[in-house]
Amino acid sequence: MSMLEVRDLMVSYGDFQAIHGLSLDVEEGSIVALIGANGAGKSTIMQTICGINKPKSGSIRFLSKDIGGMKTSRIAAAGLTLSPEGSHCFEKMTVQDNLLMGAYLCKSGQERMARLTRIYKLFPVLEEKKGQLSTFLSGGQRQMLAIGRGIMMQPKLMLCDEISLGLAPVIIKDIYAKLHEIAAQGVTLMIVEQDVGRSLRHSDYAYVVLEGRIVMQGKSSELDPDEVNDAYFGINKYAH
Amino acid sequence: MLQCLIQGILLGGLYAIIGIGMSMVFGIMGLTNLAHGDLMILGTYITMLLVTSYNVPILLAVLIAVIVMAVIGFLMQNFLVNRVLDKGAEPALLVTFGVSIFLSNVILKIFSADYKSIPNSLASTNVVSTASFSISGIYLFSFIVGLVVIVALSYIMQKTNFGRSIRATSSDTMAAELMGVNTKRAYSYAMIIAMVTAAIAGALVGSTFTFNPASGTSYLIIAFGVVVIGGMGSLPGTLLGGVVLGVAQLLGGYFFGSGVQMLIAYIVLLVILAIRPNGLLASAARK
Repeated sequence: MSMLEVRDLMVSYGDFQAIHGLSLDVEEGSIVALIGANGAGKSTIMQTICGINKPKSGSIRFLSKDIGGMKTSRIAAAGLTLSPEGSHCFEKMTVQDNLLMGAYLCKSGQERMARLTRIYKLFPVLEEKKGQLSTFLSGGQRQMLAIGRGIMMQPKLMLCDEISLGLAPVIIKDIYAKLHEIAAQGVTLMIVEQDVGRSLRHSDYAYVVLEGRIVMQGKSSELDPDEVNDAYFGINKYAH
Repeated sequence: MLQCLIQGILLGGLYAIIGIGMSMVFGIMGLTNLAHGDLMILGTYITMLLVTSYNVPILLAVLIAVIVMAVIGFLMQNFLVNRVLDKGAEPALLVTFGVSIFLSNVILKIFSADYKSIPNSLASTNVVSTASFSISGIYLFSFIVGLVVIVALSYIMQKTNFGRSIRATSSDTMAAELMGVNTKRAYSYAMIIAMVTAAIAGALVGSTFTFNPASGTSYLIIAFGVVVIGGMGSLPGTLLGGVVLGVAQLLGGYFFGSGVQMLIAYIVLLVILAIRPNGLLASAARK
């Protein structure tokens, strides 16, 4: 059984239906990519999985437990978190306090410090800036902080929404390298990315989302980037 | 004049603890709690009732008042304020306004409109008495309690996992939820802490001054003054705000007569707002 099973998911904002009966699976230990243009519904899918949006119908099962419609904090406690689009760091808190918030559910101070040491090893720049307010970090550093904060939770599954948005190529490369390190430590990842080539290179399995539906899926190594591109823009047979 | 200055500073400690709960609630959930003064006076009446009618020792009475107020704070946050907090600032503001009117009338109904006081041994004792000034026991005690409460709250907010979760909730509710914080619960805890400080403030106010059911409103205005001068949501700012207001009031009374002392205090408030619209220590505050 998959770690995450989404079946026939429907989500709407008022009268506007954003997701039309979507199903997907995330296998434990894999990196799964959601590919799609702006407004395709990628962020909505992720936010619904972690309880920020409520599903209208359909089911979301995580580790065989039905989490559809549960409170975000309870889903987090089950081991599923999101590194949100735009990083959402705690602005008026220091870098270190941001990271420690990631380990909020861990009640042992010693364990929190041990996790902190590991994060500083993964992102040395965060240790250099640990006393600064997160609002003074650069875009790339904020993204690292959001990812580091998520990892402090030691989640089983982490969703990463638009982690490369607006960042310089060299920083993006660095962040993806870190993601692979995180995956190697046993965290299952689901990433949202607008760049088709990058998505396929960095994932094991990919779903292409168009107008709230999955229009193509497959092993990332076997998908043809040109076909994915067509699906991405809804060209020819993929148009509804 | 030295007498006024010293007494003003000590009064500032009392004002700070009156304002601190309001400042915290504003800093954390952006809520202006218009019922803060009435809730505090409710704490005063609970302490008074226990001491005068049931002969409970005053410290035990304050402890009971603290517990009762904590429960009231939780119920108010959980069943009233949390329900409307998502809908913007105004509905929550109106809820607290309603609670304020409700409380002051309940207190009026039960305790009548007469002025009351909490009898205690400190109020009539001077701990220091020299030729040029004397320090009243209750003023000094209030100041020390105010200081201790602010230092303790700052420590909790800055250094503990619990305090961090409340600051995180205030900074970014969605991200705090993603880290596993039950943010509605965090708001309830914040209100409980605010009500604990209000109960302590209430007992101190009742031991220092006489009070009646309408006193809540006048202390709400003092709390407002303290919080606005200090910077909404800043804990050290609350102490500074209290001292500025206390000193302005007593020095104003010294120079212009006690009839206008509150007027002088609020003129100082207006001047400070004109120069520093966000309050003196606003940098650490929310907005």
